[in-house]
Amino acid sequence: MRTTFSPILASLANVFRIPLSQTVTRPAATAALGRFNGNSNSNSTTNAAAGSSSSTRQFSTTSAMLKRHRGPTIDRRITMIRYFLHHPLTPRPLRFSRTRFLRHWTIHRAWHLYRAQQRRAHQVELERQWHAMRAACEELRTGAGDGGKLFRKSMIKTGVFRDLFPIEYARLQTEGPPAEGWNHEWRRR
Amino acid sequence: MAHCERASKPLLQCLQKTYTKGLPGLQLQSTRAFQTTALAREEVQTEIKSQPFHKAPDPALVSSPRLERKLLRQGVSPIGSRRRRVALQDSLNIPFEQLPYQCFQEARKVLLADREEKLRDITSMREKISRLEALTTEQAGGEQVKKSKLRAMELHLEHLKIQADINDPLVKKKFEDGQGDMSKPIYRYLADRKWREYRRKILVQRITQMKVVPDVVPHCDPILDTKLYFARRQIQPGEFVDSKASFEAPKLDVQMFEGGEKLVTIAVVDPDVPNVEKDGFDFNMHYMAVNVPISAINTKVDLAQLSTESQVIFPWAPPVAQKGSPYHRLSLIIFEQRDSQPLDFAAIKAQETTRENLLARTLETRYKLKPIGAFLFRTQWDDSMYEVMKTIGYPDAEIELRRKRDEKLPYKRRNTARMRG
Amino acid sequence: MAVSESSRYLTRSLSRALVPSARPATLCWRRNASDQASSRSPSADLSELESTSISSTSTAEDVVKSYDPVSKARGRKTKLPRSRYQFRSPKYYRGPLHPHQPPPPSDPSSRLYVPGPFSLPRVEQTWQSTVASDILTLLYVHNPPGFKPPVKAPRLRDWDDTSPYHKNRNLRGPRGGDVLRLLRKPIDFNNIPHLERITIHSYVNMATENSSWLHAAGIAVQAISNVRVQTYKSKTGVPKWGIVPGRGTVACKAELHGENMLHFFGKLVDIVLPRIKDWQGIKGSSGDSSGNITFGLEPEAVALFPEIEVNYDMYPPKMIPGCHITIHTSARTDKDARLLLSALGMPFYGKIVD
Repeated sequence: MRTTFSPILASLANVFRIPLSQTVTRPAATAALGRFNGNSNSNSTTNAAAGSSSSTRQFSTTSAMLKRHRGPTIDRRITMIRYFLHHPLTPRPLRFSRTRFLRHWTIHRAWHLYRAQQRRAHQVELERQWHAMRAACEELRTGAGDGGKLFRKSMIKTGVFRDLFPIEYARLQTEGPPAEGWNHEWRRR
Repeated sequence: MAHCERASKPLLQCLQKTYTKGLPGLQLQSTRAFQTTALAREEVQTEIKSQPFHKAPDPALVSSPRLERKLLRQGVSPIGSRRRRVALQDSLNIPFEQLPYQCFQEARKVLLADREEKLRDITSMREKISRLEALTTEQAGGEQVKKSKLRAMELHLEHLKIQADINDPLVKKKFEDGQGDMSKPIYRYLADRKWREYRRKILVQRITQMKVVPDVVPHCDPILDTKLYFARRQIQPGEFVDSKASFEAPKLDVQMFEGGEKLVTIAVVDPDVPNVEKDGFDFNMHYMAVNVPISAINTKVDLAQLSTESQVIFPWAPPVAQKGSPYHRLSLIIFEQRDSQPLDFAAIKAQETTRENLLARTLETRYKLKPIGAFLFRTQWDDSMYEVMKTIGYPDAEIELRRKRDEKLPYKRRNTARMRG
Repeated sequence: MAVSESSRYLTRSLSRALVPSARPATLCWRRNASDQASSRSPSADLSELESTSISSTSTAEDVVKSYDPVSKARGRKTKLPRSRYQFRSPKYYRGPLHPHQPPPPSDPSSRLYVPGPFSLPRVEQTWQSTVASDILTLLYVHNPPGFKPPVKAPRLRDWDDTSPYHKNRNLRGPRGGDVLRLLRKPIDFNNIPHLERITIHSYVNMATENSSWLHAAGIAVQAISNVRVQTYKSKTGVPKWGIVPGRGTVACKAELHGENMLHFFGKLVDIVLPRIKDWQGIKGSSGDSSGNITFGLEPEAVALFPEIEVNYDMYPPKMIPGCHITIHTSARTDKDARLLLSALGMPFYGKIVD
């Protein structure tokens, strides 16, 4: 039989109203559990009534006065939201051994280097596109032989900011749309 | 191991020059002192293969307290933590770069590819520089243009050298273990970064908070990591130093973070000598030496041992503070000499005759110096100060300075009618 | 024994050796550390690099097979002895001069360390592969070589010196208003607009009566954004709701950057917005005229987020908050920002106002 609980476990149990023990235990342990359970356990109430009633009272969540007056009942979901919102336990800082830290550091540096190379490649690609566009427009302006009419038409930007992109264009990319939309043969195995 | 040998080469040359006899086995031993632990362990293992472990325990593997104590009695301290030693006992001893972790190996490949690229950049940049140098001034477009171009290319080359090595985990490990070879740009760069992270901030805070910077020199941007030792004890910047300890000249550890060598002038100035007639404070030069060579690998400067014929203008005068006088800020300034050209020692010796009221600012303008390093310690009256004063023959040793009582202003009745509320 | 003796021997001899002789004997130093780079060859440069680099030898096959640290650690009869002191990041930052300094956030021992990234968000991929070059093409304005744009008058005007009091006065504001708007540069390959950050802000007017409203709103925002929320007090009073400025905490806000932001945007565009009934899009007049677009979501729309939808029962239904979502882009004007958002799947409706 388990008699001691970690404070985290106990507070979790308190929030979810899980009775910590179903068996009759020693009076001291039951009194302690009664604090956690808020007198929901019948054993603990009887024990507390027999023993130190006042000490149990002041720790219980529903006191006799409240019960009588029918005060505002708090939604259990709110209690749980509050519990998780204010939970103090955050992940501890990691502890690595020397070589493990160095390995981690190597990977970290390599990853950043790789990302920088990718960014740089993307930037260079955009720059190349821009210069190609510039050369093409210059050719259209001077070498098309229509006095630059086509070029002037292509430079009209009025619709761009008014019509924006069509919504059909704006679809976040996936690996590719499947040939048929649904796999009807799939069954759970 | 090639770099270790290269690092120790100048050291050995010096040793051979000064002490040719009496050190027969020094070359071998000193090279070994630079080695890493792994190699030392291999040697030990080959030596003692015949003996059982408990007879000749290995300092890298010993784990039982009894054997550790035995080793300590022999004067060998075990290497690393006990946890590390126990873990090493049954490890495969795979070298760090070959550890079979997939992500790590992939990362290594990326880093290696990058390093290859950087090496190619370095070679091409060096070729570019030599091509530019081969050009005449007219071809390069003028003296100034060529100079600035060369300067920029040199800087870029230095940057590339650092970038080639900065992603190497073993470089990081060696630097953290203090085994970095300061003749290499990467370790100088790492050391500079570490110094600027904390120690330089402290130094700058002390010299600005205690007003060394406007009082002694008008401006100082420290680029040298300076450590000061009195009788082997390191002094923190701005610490109070016992007068008995500061009787002897201090030793300096001046770490430079640039390549090459510099000639510096070292001056210790006390701007807080009380002057009763003037009702103010005077300056006093406690030490001055010129033409002191420092470089990234030659860091130790013993102020007592510099040569009196060619370097020391004023030998060390122990700092004194009369009883009742406020604390004295002994500020040590390291000046860079222009273009690292040696100053004329005899002329300076002839010109600077008195220590009293010789200002650091005067030196700066007279000899075209530039402050590149600073340090500060303080002195006040303590128990041994009287003996120090007697020993150096300080004239006013018995005098105790008293702060003058401020004269009270004449009492005047307040005109309460004028005050409201 | 031999090792220690040699080192002691070395230190003693070194201390003697480092005593300089009468002349400043620096010849032997000078040769190794010289500043004169003019007579250098590339091999000299390469020799300055660290030679014990991560070598390119690969691991042997059998070593890879036999290497299993986990089972080795499990198979150990006794635990390893405790480790020595390890660095521990301070809980609170005590200034730059304190000796106990926290490591940079990229260090795993830092308290701010966040592992990852573990994913390549689709929004990022779409932007990189398609959207960026399309916007670049769409907004390309050709200037012939040698073209110089006409010089514009300075936006801050001088005072005409009609009054002696104009002397030393600050410059006059721009024409037509006091606000100095951001300048728009022509879009080229360097400044294609992209998402910078997203702010989710939720004002809960019932929070003055009962804090549970704010708590529920906070945890809902936290759930959809994956970011810890900040709470704020009201700056202005609303008598109808009984809100007094600076009194009660009435709002919560989450700021999303990087991976969190991109995933949130993807969820918004793919899952939430298409399922809102009769939603026309973002209003065309939205925006703060410096490239940040704001729109609001009703509580029913917030409930459509998959994180809330999967355990909808755990939130009191009337307490699920509505929120304002501000999308900060790197565009300098609203029209560029709108173009970017429409390329990423945000519809706009109504009259477009710039």
